[in-house]
Amino acid sequence: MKLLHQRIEKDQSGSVRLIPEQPEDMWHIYNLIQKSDQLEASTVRGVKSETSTGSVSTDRVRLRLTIVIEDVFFDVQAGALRINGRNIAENKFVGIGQYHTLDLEMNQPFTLRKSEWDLISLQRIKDACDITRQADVAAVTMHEGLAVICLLTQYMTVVRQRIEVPVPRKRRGSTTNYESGIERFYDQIYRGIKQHIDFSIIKVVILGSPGFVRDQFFDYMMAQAVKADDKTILENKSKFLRVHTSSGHKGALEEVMRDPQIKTQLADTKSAQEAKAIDSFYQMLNKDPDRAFYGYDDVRKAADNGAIGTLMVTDELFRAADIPTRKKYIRLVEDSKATNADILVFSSLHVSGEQLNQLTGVAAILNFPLIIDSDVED
Amino acid sequence: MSRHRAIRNLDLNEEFYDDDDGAVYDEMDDLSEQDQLKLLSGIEAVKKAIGSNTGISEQEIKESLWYYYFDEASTIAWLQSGQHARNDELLKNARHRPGNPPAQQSTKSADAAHNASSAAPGTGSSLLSLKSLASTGGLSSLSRKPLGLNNSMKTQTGSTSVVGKALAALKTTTPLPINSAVVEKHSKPNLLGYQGGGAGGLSLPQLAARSAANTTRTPVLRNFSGRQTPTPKSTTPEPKTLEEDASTSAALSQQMHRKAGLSAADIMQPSVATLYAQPSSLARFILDNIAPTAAYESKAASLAIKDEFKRDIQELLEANKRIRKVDVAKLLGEGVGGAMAEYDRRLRNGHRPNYIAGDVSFLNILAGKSSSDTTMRHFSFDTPSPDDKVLTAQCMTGKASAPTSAPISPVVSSKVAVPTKEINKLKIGSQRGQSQGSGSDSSRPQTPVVAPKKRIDVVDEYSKHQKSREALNLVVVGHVDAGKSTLMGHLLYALGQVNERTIKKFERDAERIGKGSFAYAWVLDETEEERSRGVTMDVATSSFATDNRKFTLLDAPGHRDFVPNMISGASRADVAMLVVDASTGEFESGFDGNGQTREHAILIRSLGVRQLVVAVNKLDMVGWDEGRYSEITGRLLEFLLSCGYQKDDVRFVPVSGLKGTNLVCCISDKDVPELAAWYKDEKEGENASPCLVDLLDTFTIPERPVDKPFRLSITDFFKGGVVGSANSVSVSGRIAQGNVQLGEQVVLVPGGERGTIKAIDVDFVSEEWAVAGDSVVLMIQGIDIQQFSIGSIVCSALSTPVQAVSRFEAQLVIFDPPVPITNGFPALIHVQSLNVPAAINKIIEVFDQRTGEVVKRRPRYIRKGATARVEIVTDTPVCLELFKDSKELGRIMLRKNGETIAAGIVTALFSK
Repeated sequence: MKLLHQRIEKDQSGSVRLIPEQPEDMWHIYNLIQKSDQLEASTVRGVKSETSTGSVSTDRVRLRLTIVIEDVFFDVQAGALRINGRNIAENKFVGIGQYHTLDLEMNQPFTLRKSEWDLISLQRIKDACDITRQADVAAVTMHEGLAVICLLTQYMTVVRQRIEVPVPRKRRGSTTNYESGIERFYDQIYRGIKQHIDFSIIKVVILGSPGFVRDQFFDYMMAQAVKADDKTILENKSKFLRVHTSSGHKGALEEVMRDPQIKTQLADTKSAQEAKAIDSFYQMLNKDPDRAFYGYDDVRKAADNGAIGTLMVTDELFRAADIPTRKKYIRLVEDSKATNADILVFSSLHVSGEQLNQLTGVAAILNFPLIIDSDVED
Repeated sequence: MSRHRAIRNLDLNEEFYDDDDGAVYDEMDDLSEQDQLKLLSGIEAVKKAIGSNTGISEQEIKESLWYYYFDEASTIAWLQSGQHARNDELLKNARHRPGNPPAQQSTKSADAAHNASSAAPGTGSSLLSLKSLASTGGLSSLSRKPLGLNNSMKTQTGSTSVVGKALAALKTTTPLPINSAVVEKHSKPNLLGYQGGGAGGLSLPQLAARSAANTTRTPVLRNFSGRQTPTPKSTTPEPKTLEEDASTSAALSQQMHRKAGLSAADIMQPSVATLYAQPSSLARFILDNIAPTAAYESKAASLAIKDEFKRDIQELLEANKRIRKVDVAKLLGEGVGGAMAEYDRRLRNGHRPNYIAGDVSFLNILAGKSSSDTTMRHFSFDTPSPDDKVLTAQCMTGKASAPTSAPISPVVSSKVAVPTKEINKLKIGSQRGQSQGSGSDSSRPQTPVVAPKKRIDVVDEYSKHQKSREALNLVVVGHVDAGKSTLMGHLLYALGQVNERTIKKFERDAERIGKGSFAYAWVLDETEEERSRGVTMDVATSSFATDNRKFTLLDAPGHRDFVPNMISGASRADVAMLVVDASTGEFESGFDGNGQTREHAILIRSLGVRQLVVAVNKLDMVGWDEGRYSEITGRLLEFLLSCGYQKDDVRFVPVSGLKGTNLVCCISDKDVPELAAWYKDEKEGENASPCLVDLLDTFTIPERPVDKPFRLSITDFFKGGVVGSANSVSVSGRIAQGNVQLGEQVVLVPGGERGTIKAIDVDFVSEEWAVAGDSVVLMIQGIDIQQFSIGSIVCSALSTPVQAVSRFEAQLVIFDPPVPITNGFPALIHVQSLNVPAAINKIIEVFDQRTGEVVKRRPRYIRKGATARVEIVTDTPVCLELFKDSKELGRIMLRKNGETIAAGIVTALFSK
């Protein structure tokens, strides 16, 4: 993402002008945009015009609109962001108060105006515009019959394809069913990889599986590539990393992040950091439960006591539609930051983010044990 | 397509093949050990009660006891009530009720008998004659039942009494001289009571029956007298003699219906045979007598009754069970002739409950179809209807199942005492009877009256077949490279499941890739990958049988990465074998730390397996060292007890899978002196050093929820299947509960699509039905393969299908997770063969495992070893049932990062 212009007043209101450059930026924008923000962007609108004779024609007109956001929809798969709202700037074609839904487009600048720019949003813009922190990784987790092809970026883990091929189990006396099933399965993964992984961007392809599936698949893929003289695969052979995981479900990515081989490669990526943080949270819970808190109320108390060492929050909480909730969490982050706590905003698209989401969305590792009566019956 | 043709086409040799085997006629074979005990104690009690000098033989007591289902009081009452009175009444009433014209003839026969008996009043021989009359009369009246059922001559059509006619025919056509000849012939070897007192003339009808047999087959008599059970007290008073008489006539009629029953046998046999199954000796010998009668009759009047037969069979089968029961009762009430009616009345007064019970089971059989249908193919239909084709096909496939149940019965019979030879025959008869029932089923193509839902009363069938189907699912678990596959491969080889040639081939091939020691494992490790890597990756299913048990073998992989597969196998198991490697360092690596020995042992226990045999393998590597063995067993036992196994359920055996030592035969000093020197198990009593098979053979059979609604969790599915129909899908798995049969409608959950069962394979053998606990492959037609997935449930269409839920409540026992479990804790849950990502949504409470008291409500986390109630959400809906409803489908396992963190049971399902 490119920041073209930023103007924030003392009362924290102001506007920024940005150009999204890659799909992930849409995710960032999705996290920035709140209800009742104002958005000015280029869009296309079908305009009906009636001639004097009464015939009606519809024209598609490109125009710049400023809308007050009412609803946002983000499609992770397509990386598309649709924003719905009411027009507030008088226009030749669209009257004030008319509804319009615009698709934010790649490489088209837009201006976002907020009445209050908070810490999280500003940090988000900073992160999004940091081009040094780019690591594009593809991962395929698989076990017999199931494979998940994902793309991992800083902030997103996007499942590109979920392959489920029934592989008949081995039966007494005949393994042909099994063998043809497994071949069909490998073939689909192979084709999925070719379709979804752009080797010009992707630096590493992780093949994770229990048992021997990854090795078998790798051998199969290479054999196929040689047969079909598939240059892209053959040239990028070194990009494939084979890692042990306990299953082929998407959750196994968490194990991938823990693999020493991967750790070094992805050490400074966000997903690796998040995975590490959530790990240490559980370790702490195991070691000293009084130093690992989760849930807003508990963490709030810890923050009040200035005990928080690392605060983990998912970005989902900041997207909350109701402003009080959002404010509540922002204040928590700000307060923690005031006590020099590390703040980690987890991307809810990552596996670890999902996990934190399940874990109420907020967790903290404390600097010192704190005994609180957290088990209030509800 | 007349019945007649079917009869004509009968292959008699085949038909009677079973019966010619005189050695297996043993009534009490049907008795379980428990019943035997009851019987013995019953006899004692009755003897005491009635005194020793009543002249009632032990045999009679026994039969009466059996008749009354070991109710001693009733037995005594019956025995003491005096048979005079009964018989007198019988005869008195015989005159009161005039039957149809032919029936009157049979009344005459009764009268004749009565006259004869009154000629020698009060004497022992008169008693005898009365009794023999009773038997004959009973024969006629009872013969109405089978006839009624198969032909339903009277009640339904009001036509003439066939039996009466038969009797009449017998009487009129049999010259008296032959009668006496018969009597003499009989009396000689048996020294029967009716020798004296002009007995020959007394029991006319009976003799008539005999002579009928005689006219058709004289040599038979020799045969039968030879077979007669020798009774030491042959000169004892009459009741005893009656007994003899009864069995004599039984045997005789056996012969007779075999030979003379050209036309009738086909029809009669089902009923006759079925009634054999009735636990009433009286009914039995009466029935034995029917056959000749009916046979003769049908010979004489076959043309006339042919059509009636056909129609009546249809009508009868159409009627529902209740109606049929009433019909039978009515039939019995009306009686063939007056005498028979009275006999029947006595039956009603004294014996009815049992009698009717017998009817019900009989009717069930009639309505049902048998898997062991060997006679079906003899019915050649000129224009078979589609219905016929299906039925025939089913029966043909069912044929293959006959051998599976057959080998068991000799084993059983060899263990039971001699004097009850007869009932074994009855058992065989009953089996055939069912098949005949199905035969008549298919002979009415135009009216598919039998509802498509339940043609076989599987529960009933199962209880009958239980003995021959003591099937167990055995899962073999243990740490990787403990030698599970090799051990089981060798066991299969030793039990003859794998032939010499195959093993030799495996040895050669394995040698070639430098894995010579894996030859036996190749029996079960069939995929190329498994062989080249020398690791079992997926559960291999096979089967074998020991003396008393039939096993479905599930050879689970030991590698930790394949624990999901192992869970899939273990969730299908009843009992387990844990294999541990005894060689130095190997046991420790499997047992300590991250070894799978522990994990597997805990897993199978959590999956409901209670009985465990621990095979201490590779003990030859340490020179059969006793110290090593006891060290391992000691450590393991301690651990297993801590997992919740009972001491008596865990047994150890030292083996060598590679060498095959102590697998099938017990070791001797010659083979392995090192082992023989010390290997003795004090607990085992007479078998001091049991081998592996001995231990497997003594696993107890768990209770099977046979009568619950049908449920099968899909382990595997593939296109086509055993019969190879194009648009069918075969699913395999273990029936969690209930039963299933060919043609049954099933529902697939999730999805709710309906299909029809086209084929059932139990342990690689085609069957017509299967019950809970069986590992089956079902071929289902009507559901697209896309609808299937592993973990889907096949349910009976007649019951409420299971629910697929994505949120449920469970009680968990936390094992040893590396970190505490919190709200939102992600894990994979395993249900049967399915594993799906899930998360612990909410920890409801932690409670004390023993007292059940809540320790903490809504805790922040659960520690290892705790027991907790939690709410779980899954990514995709999972088919589950409450644990209290279904043990199999109500169990879950939680795993994370390749470790089993918790096991649990489902306590509540939430629809949303």
